[in-house]
Amino acid sequence: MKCSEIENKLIAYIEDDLTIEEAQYIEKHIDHCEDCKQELVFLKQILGGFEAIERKQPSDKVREGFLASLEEEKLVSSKVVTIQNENTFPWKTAFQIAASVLLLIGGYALGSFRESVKSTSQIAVLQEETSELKQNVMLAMLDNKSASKRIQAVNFSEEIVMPETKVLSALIDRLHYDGNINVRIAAAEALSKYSENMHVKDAFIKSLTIEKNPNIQIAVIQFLVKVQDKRALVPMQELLDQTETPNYVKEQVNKGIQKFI
Amino acid sequence: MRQIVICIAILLGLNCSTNAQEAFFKESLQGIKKVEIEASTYMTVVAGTANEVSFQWGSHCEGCKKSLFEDEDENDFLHEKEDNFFHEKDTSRKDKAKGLKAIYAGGEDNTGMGMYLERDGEVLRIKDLKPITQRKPFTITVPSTIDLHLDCGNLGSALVKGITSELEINSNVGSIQLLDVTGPITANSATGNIDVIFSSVSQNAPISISTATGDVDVSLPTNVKANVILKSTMGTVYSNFDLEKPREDGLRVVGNTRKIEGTLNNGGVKVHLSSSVGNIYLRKKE
Amino acid sequence: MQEVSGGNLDAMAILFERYHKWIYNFLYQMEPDEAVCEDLTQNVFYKAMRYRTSYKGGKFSSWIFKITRNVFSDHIKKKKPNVTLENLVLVEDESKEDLSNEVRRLRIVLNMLPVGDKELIIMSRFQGMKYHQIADVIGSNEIAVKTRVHRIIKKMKTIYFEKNTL
Repeated sequence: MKCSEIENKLIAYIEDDLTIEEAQYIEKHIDHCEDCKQELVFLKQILGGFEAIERKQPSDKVREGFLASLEEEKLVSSKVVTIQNENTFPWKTAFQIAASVLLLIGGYALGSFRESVKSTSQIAVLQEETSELKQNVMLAMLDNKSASKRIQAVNFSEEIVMPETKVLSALIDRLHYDGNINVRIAAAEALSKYSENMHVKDAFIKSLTIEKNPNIQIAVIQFLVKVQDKRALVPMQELLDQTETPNYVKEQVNKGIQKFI
Repeated sequence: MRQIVICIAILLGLNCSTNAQEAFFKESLQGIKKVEIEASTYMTVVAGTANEVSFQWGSHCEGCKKSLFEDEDENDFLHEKEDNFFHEKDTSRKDKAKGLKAIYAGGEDNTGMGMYLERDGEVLRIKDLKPITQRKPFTITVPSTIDLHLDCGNLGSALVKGITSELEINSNVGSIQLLDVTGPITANSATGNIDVIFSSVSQNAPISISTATGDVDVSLPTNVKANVILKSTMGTVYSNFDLEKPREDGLRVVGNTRKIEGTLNNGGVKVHLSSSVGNIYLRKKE
Repeated sequence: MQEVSGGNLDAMAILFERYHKWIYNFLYQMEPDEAVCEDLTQNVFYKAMRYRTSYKGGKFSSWIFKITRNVFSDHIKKKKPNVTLENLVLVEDESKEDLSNEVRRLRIVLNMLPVGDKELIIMSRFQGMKYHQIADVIGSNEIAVKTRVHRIIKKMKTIYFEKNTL
């Protein structure tokens, strides 16, 4: 390559935007070409100058002004909301957050209280023992402190051919109350297989009224639409009316409602 | 230049306590299996060799490519510059606080750095107490075998590199980046992207990664044994793996469940990736 | 931001905390007048709030930056009618500030650039935006933006090192 070609690639070189071969070629060239080396130093100096430009701190007036206009905007939009739905009052979200924090803490305390058996030995046992034992070990593992282990326990339920009610109840507990979203997702998937079971259907209906995570909301809606449980229509309508429901969840609700015959 | 001058002034004035390059806090991990951190800022966790947890301000991750930080880039950049704003402010205010102690609503500041630290059996808990506007990105170094639970709160995001133990991470708007990890992992974000590059995959317990509106981007070594489940309700699933489909029994799920299942190298640990609105990318690690 | 456009205005406060300094500093580089920039920053977030329903996904930072550019260009038009953003050269008086020689020179060079170039280089180098994001904001493509930024850097280099007047 000629020097002019090298020069054209120097900025890309500084930006680390070249292939390894190109970069190595340039490094080699610079080693013995003073002109190009100087050029690189110049460019680095210019670009380095931007780092040295001071970042300014805007005064608190900006925040104050913004917060004032935010309050105004809230007033305007809450008026619109009240017309649509009288049940929407601002305390609700705060309550939900407080409640979920409590749940989390509660769930945690429970988990740390109960965990006693080493989880690795539990798995070894699980693979050998009979269905009865399998269930019991799975139940114990569902209370493990580690979220991954709890998911593993949920997944093991798939291997139990005819799970007893206590197994399903334990899974339902996870679906409703586990502090970790991924565990709740796994529980929803595991329970989806028992589409004929009344307890499971009830559990999904309940989940629809308490669950705030959109991933799980969507999974729950899909299950209830699949089993054509018409009791879902009321909580689904409520989701549509709630302003905090994300639009893409509402889209799934609408699709689901259309599929009820 | 100006920044350097300010830094020097601070160093002299505050007895080096705010030097960004120095670890400002260390705690032994004797008898600790798991570290839990709750902080609504940009957290970086890297692997070290000593059996201790050490803190630094700023984001320090050797070998982490900048380009990995999609949306976080500019925030990261902002935070770095913010350090200087706050230092500048602090020097003029420092005198006022002489002889007084900062009190926070979330708990007691027992580290002197606006963080609460607590040992609970085998768990070490760390909580950032500072109000959102004063939070700064920080980096912690822990042994690669320690279990981690990171709660990024509302605004925080996380970058983890080289931890080969169990990770549990959740964020709301911030992204989650995990490099050179092995699992088990449970990660969830409401709107952030989750990027994970596995160095190998632990067969001990399942991996579950989910977001509501963000993308999930996972790179796996080609020889990994796994059962993968990829699910995006409204987005698209992309992969350059040949997913061996276990069976197709003709049952179609009503309600648009777009779930793709397959096995890699005859199957293994369960890897569950899901997003409601975002895309799923499962790639071969180069 | 999905939450904001879906009606959750409190999320807007979070976004404000995240981005207002970034926006303010961009404006300040374009026009170093604290009072004006504070007003404009407020204006940007006010517009973002008012028109939140027009946000259709994608990066929030790109969306708010588009608003910022509009607000700034309105401001310029109001201030100096008949002058378009593309060929206006702003003059500033920074002598009161204690700046290093390096930064002072850079400032002068920046102000010798056409405003369009200055804006682009500030987005790329000062705001830390990636080429594809800039392309998204100004409605161009990544390659074109990259080529243009590289050309501007070269132009700056020529002015910076070869004009003895600086």
